[in-house]
Amino acid sequence: MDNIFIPGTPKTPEVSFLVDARSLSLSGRSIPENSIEFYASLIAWTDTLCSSEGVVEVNINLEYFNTSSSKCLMDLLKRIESSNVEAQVNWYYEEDDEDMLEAGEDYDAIIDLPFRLIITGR
Amino acid sequence: MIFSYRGVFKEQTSTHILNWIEGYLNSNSTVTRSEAKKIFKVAVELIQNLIHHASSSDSSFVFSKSDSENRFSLSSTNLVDTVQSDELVAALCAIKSISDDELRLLKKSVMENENRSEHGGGGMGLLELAKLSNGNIESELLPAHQDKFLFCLSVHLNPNQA
Repeated sequence: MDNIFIPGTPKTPEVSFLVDARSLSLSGRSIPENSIEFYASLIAWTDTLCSSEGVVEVNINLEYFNTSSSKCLMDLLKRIESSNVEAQVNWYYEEDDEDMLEAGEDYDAIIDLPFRLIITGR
Repeated sequence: MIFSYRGVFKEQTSTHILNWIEGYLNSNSTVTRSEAKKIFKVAVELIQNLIHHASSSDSSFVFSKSDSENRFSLSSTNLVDTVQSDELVAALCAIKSISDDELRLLKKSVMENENRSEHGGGGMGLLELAKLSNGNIESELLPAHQDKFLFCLSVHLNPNQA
């Protein structure tokens, strides 16, 4: 199993999924036209990581995401939730971005994983 | 100020239009960053909806700013068939009749739902547009040709009242 690093683009997030650190980080923006295609390999990687023991850390620090990405993020978090691993989700949002804060609160309400909602500067 | 595009919507089209909108919003000192993000997100949803659901060159997207009302309006137009038009009218009627809190709950339940469209969505686009605009969303169906209608969807945002 290899690390995944994908540089960010104007439509897709920077992806840094690290095996040894057991961390999954997404940052930037996630507005691809076809989110399923973009997230498929990330979800498969997550399944493999969650098949081994150890705490998993998820860092989501997105500026924007489209509705199809929001469903893919939900799928990714649900895969972690349904595995037996311990996990921590860190959800970052800019101070005045109420929409991103609300989105974090909504995921927190739906997914049974510990969430930290963390304010960031721009 | 008005920006308008009519034609076929593809990934490249979306990139160009979104780049232009982002540049315009960044250079507009009267719009805060959080307001600009809201407006940009509306543009993303409307344009990507056209990419996924509109195949003809009769589709259009309009972005406008009224200085007198300090209001941004974003509109999309595309051809739909009778079945789609009925579904859209029903969905919009339902969305317009509920409160902000109910809208958030509905969005949560759709997020949780495992149904996905071919591109990953699944009925969240209209809910998101209604939420971003505080329900300031309008639609119109105009008879086009044969059994087709032109579906016109407009979303209005008043940054200072957001």
